Amino acid sequence: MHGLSWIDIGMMIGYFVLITIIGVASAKRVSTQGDFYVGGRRFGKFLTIMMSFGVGTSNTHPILVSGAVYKFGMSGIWYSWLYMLFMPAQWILEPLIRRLRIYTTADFFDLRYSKGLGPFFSISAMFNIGIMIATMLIGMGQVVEGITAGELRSTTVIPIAAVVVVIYGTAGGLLAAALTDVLQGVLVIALSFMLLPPMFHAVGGLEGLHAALPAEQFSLAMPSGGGNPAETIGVFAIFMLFINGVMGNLIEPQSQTKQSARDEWTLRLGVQIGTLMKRICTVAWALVGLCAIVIWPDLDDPESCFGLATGTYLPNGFSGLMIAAMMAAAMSTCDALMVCGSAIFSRNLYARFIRTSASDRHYLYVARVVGVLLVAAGLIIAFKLGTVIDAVEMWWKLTAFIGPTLLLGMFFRRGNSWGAWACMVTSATVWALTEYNLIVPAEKLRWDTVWYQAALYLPAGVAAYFIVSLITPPEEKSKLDRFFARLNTPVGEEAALVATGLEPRPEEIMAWQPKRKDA
Amino acid sequence: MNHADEPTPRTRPSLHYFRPYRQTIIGFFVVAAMVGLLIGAVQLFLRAGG
Repeated sequence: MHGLSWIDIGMMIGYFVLITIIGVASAKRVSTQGDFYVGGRRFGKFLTIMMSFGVGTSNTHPILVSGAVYKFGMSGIWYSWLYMLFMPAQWILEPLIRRLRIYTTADFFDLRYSKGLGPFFSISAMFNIGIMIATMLIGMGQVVEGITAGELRSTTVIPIAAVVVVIYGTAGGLLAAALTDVLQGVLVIALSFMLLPPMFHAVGGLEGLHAALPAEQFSLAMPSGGGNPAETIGVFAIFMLFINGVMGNLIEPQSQTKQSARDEWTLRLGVQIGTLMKRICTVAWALVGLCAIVIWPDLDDPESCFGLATGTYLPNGFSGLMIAAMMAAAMSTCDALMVCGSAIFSRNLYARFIRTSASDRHYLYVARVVGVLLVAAGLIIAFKLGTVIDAVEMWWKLTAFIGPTLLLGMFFRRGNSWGAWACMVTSATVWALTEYNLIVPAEKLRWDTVWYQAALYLPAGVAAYFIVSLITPPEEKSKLDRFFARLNTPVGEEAALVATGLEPRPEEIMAWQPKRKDA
Repeated sequence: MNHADEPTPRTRPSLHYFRPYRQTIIGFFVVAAMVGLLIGAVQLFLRAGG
């Protein structure tokens, strides 16, 4: 019985049954590609908030943040909080992405650029999604193993979670993902805070923490300088991680989920509140790490502290809830990734290069099959990750190399595909030169940190974008006119776009008008 | 739908990106204030009891 009570097992089974029913029930509302990929663009504020919270929160975040705080003190919170600095910019940029009236992030590259950038992004995104799904599943397996002290093995939990994700995700698409996010959100918030009272009691409250730990452990900004720069999170590191994160965040495939909001206001409000909820939960995860320093001062693996805390401080009978919550956190991200990946393959590769004129029903079928294959690929990678770990890191870095091409493309009309290629190649080259110590001596440890590397490869990439764009021919005028007309036209004014005559399929643009009916 | 009622969209990067302006500007500062408030509140909480 894996050391779990019948109540725990019952909770887990109940959770799986519930989300499977949700998926099958939402399948009734999926009849077109738009329904499957972006929930028919009908999501109101509540679903958008929960979707934003669910997609942005994975089960690895509590482990990563508590582990970083255990290692660096409270400044470790910036491993997750650095994106919070992006929130005001998000307020401005989110509606622009929505205005492009695109289904996938790959659509952006097809709409703005040419010269193979769309297919390149699509293929790299597919790899990225497969690996991200694997990472989620592995993290989930490790957490469940930690909570059950290794009695419930990841080799058992991971396939079960994958099968459940496939069943409800392929049936209900993004709507099923959003509805299960509601459930996940409630569970994650509960798990984030239920650990704190017993842990604070164990360390003697804040006074006990202050008595046991040096003052700098409580600072949100660790003083830089002295010691290994790779282990110092100073203002410079926070700033560069933020910039790097913004670039990567912009082109994440799961940005597609934001197209599901009914209108710009719903999107803005939903994303901000969902993101803020996550940042507040992050504080709870960080405090778990801080308490853990006092309770278990000699942990070999700092990231094990969250699992250790849940195993030690949760009352009997809550283990099943905790396991369900951790699985929910992983599965809610996996299902959204699966839908995004299937949309990218179906729209940006299959419908463009393999079968260009098929029925909507056919593409929907292809998307569902690809969804199954993506999770299967993630499952295989999850069990072979040791051999692909370098590839994982490489693909993560790649997102930061591509990001500037999206941001610059929206604000610099003269920017073109050659500039975008130059940006990516230059950034990747500069990164490789620093990563393999070809510019500076190996003993200069700071060049092994992503913040110092980003301080070189991002400006180099941006400079290459401008220079190469200006010395090569611009993109086709009608293509640029169409792209920028969309950006200048708020959601709800689609008729003005059609009136320009720039849209080859007016009926598709008109379909992006806000729906009255809420999901 | 009367297409003539709609303003003709611009085809270059412009300030129209930020329509409706009031919502964009006020919202920007409200969000920035919320972020600052959260950071400040957490730092104050951590100093309490020290």
